[in-house]
Amino acid sequence: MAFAVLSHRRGRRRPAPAALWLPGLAVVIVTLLPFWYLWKRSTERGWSAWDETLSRSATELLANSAKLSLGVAVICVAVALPAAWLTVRTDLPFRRAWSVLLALPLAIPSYVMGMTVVAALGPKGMLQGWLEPLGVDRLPEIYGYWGALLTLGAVSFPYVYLVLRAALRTLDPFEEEASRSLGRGPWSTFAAVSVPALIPAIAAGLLLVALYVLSDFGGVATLKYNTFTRAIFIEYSSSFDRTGAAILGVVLAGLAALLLAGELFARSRYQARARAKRLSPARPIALGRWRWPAVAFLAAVVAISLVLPMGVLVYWLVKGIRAGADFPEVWEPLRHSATMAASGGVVTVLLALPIALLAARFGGPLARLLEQAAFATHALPGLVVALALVFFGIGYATELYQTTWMLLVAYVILFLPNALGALRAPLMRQSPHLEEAAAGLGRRPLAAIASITLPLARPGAVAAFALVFLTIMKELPATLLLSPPGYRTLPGVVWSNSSEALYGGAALPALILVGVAAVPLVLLVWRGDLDAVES
Amino acid sequence: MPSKAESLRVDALEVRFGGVRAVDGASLSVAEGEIVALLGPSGCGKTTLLRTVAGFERAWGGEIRLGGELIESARVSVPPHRRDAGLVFQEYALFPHKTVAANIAYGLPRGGDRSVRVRELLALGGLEGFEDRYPHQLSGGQQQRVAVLRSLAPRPRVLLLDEPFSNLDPGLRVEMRDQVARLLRAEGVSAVLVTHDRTDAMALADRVAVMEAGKILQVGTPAALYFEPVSERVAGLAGEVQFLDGTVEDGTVETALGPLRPLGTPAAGSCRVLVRPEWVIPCMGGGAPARIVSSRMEGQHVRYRIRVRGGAELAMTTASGLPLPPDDEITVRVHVPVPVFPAGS
Repeated sequence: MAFAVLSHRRGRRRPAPAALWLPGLAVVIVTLLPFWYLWKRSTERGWSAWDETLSRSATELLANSAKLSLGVAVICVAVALPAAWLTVRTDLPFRRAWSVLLALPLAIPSYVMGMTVVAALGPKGMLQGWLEPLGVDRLPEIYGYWGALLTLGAVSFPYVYLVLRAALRTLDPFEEEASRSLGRGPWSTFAAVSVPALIPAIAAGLLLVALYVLSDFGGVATLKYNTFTRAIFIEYSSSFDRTGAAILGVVLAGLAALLLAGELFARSRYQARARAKRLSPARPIALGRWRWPAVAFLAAVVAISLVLPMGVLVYWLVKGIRAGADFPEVWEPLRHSATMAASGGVVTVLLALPIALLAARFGGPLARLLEQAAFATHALPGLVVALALVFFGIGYATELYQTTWMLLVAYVILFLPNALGALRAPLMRQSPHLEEAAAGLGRRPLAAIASITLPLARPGAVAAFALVFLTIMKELPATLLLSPPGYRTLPGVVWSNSSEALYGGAALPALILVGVAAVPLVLLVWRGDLDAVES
Repeated sequence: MPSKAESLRVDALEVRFGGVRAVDGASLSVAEGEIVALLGPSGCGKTTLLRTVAGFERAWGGEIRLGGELIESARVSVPPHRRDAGLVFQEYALFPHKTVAANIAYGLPRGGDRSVRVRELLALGGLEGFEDRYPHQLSGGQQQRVAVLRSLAPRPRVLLLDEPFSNLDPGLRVEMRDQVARLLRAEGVSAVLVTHDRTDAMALADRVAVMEAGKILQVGTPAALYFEPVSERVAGLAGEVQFLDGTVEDGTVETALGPLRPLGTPAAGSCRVLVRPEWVIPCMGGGAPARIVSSRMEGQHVRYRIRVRGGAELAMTTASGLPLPPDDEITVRVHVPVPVFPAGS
C-alpha cells in the first residue's frame, strides 16, 4: 500500500512531540536501571567470584537448560503445527471451540501445572493409588527431566500454536491455488508451498518457547529440575552472600538476550511476508476419513494440558472438603492479586502507549532504539528482574523496597514488551493518512492522536490490558521476591502450599487463580485478538 | 494568466528522499479560485510536491507561499495544522469511527454555525440523509464526496487533491469528475489536483502543469498543452502522439502529408512535426493522397492506419461511423497548425 511505501522513504522528518518523547525515554531508563545495578552487583567481588560460581555449576545448568528447552521445543512443534493447521485450514468439527480450548492452558501457571503433574503421577500420587491394587508399587520417577518436560510442554505449546495460527492465516491462498492448478494435490501442496512458508514462523515459535523455558521458575522448581532459575533462587534464598545469584542472573539474562535476538530475526522474516498481502482465507480443506483421528489427537492434547490439571485440582478440592480440611484464606490474596493485575495492566498499557506511538508514527533511529530497548526486557526472566530490583531496592531505593510500588515497577518492566506488541499491531494497520487528514484540518499532533489514533487503537489497548492482566495474575518469581511482608497473593499462597506438599490447601487458590486468569484470555479469544497474545 | 490575486506560489522547490531528488526545482503559481492540475507519470514527484505543500514532507530548497505567507522553505516549516491547506487523500482517509456528519465537522471550530455549515455541505454534495452513516456504509463515490466536503468545510486557503479519481470505476469516474468540479467552483476554492490521467486533468483544471522527473515541463490551459506543447515529451503526456519528419522552408513545413502550416515561426531546416491522429482528416480533394491499410470501429471514433507518400504509415481517427474498407484511396489534410520540434530531439 501507498502509505507503507511512503513511511519507508522519508525525507526530512518532523520531530515527534515532547509529550511522547519524554515519557517514553523515562520508561525505558527506569526499566534498564536495575540491570545496570545487577551487573554492578555481580562484579563487586571481582572476577574470581565469577570463576568460582561458574565452575561450580555453569556446565550442569547450561546442559540441563539446553536439554529441557530442546525437548519442550520439539513437543511444542509436534503438537502446535498440526493443531494450528487443523483449526485454521480444515473443516474440523467445532473448529472455534477447539481454537479456544487449545489456547486455554495459557491461563494455567507452570507451577500449578507442575503441582498437578506431581499430584497425579508422582510417588503416592493419584495414578499410583489406582494402580496399587494391581500390584504396581513404583512408578517411574516424575521429579526431574521427564516431569519438567511434561509440565512445560503442556503450558507452553499454546505460544507456538498462536504464532503458527497467525502465520497460517497470512499465507497467500493464491499461491496454494496456483500449486493446485499446476496439478499438485492438497498434501503435496501443503508440503511444497505451505510448510516452507511457515519455516520462519516455526523458528520464531521454537525460540519463543526456548526463551520461555529458560525464564520459567515455577515449573522447574516444582519438579525439582536444576536449571538456571532454580539455582538462582536457591543461591538467593540459602546463602548469605548473594553475589552468586547476581552472577547467574547476568548469565541467564545474556542467554535469554541471544534467544530473543534470534526470535526477533525469525519473526521479521515472516512478518515481512505477512505485510505483503492480507487476503481472504482459503476454502477449508476437507479432512475426510482423517476427521476423527484429528479430533482424537486434539482431544488428547486438551486432556493432558487442560483436563488433567483442572481434574486434579477439583479432585483435591472435593477430597479436602470431604475431609473437613482447613482451607487457606483466599479472599484477601485474590483481592491483592486482582488489584495488582488490574493496576499493573493499566499502568503498563499507559506507559507503553507513547513508545508504541513513537515507533509506529514518527520512526527515526531514536524512536526505534527506544522501542528495541523496551522490547529487550522481554529477554529478562521474571526472577532476574526481581533479583535486580531487590538489589536495587536495598542499595538505592530503600523507601520503595518491599512496597507494592516496587512490585508494580517489576510488572511494568516484565510486561511492557507484551503491551507494546499488542498495541503495535493495530497502530501499524492504521493508515498514517488519517492523522495527516486531521492535521490538514487544523488539529495539533497531540489533538490528532487523541481524536483519531487513540479511539481507533482502543481494541489494541484492551487486548494489551487483558494480556498484561493475565500474565501478572500468573506471575510467580517477582511476586514472591518483591511482595511486601505479609502481603499475600494467589500465586504466593499456591506456592507456599505446594512447596509443603499441601495440595489440598493449594487446590482452592489455584482454581480461583486459573479461573480469574481465564477471564481475560477468553475475552481475547472471543474478540479474535488471540494472535496478539503471541508477543 | 488570470488577473486575480495569487493564492499559492511554489518557487524552485526541491525535496529529496535519501539521494533521490523527488522534486527538483519545481515552480508553480495558483490564482485565487483557480484549479490547477499536476499531470505526470507515477514517480514523477507530483504527489511529493502536493504533500510538501500540505506540510507532510520537508523542503530541502526553494520555498512555498500561501496567500503571500512563507509556509515552507529549507529553514521555515509551518506545521500542517496551521497551514489552512486541505488535503484529499487518494484512499480518502475518512475517520472510520466517525459518522459522515462528524467527519465533515471535524475541521470546523467548536460551537456556532458548525451544524449549519455541515448541512450546507451535505446539500452541496447531495448527501442529505447520509449524515449518520459510517464511512464503511457508503459507496466509493459517496466516500469520495465526503472526503472532499470534509476538506472544504473549514474553507481552506487551498485544496489539495491526490489522485482523487483513481479508486473509482470508469463510469463513476466521469460523473465524480463533474461533481467535484461543481463542488470546487461552488466554494470558489483554489485547488491543486494531482493525477496521472490527462482526461481528469484537462476536464477539471483551468491550467495543467506537466511534470516529469521532479521538474515542471510546461504550465498552460488544456488547449495550450494539447495544441501547443513546448516539447515532444509534453506532447506525449498531454495526448496521443505521432511524429513526421519534415523540413521548414518559407513559413511552411514540407512533410509526407504535403506542405503543412506550422505553429509559430520555426527556424528553417529539418525538423519533427507533431500530428495527432484526429488532426488528420479525410477531405474531398486538395489534400495528400493516402491508402487505407486497416480500419477499426472503436466506439466513439474510427481508427485507421493509412499509408502516405514515401511509404510512411500514420494513425488517423475520425468521428464514429461506418469505417471505410482497406485499400480505399483517399485524400487527407491536417486541419490545425502543427507544432514543430527540432530534429533529433
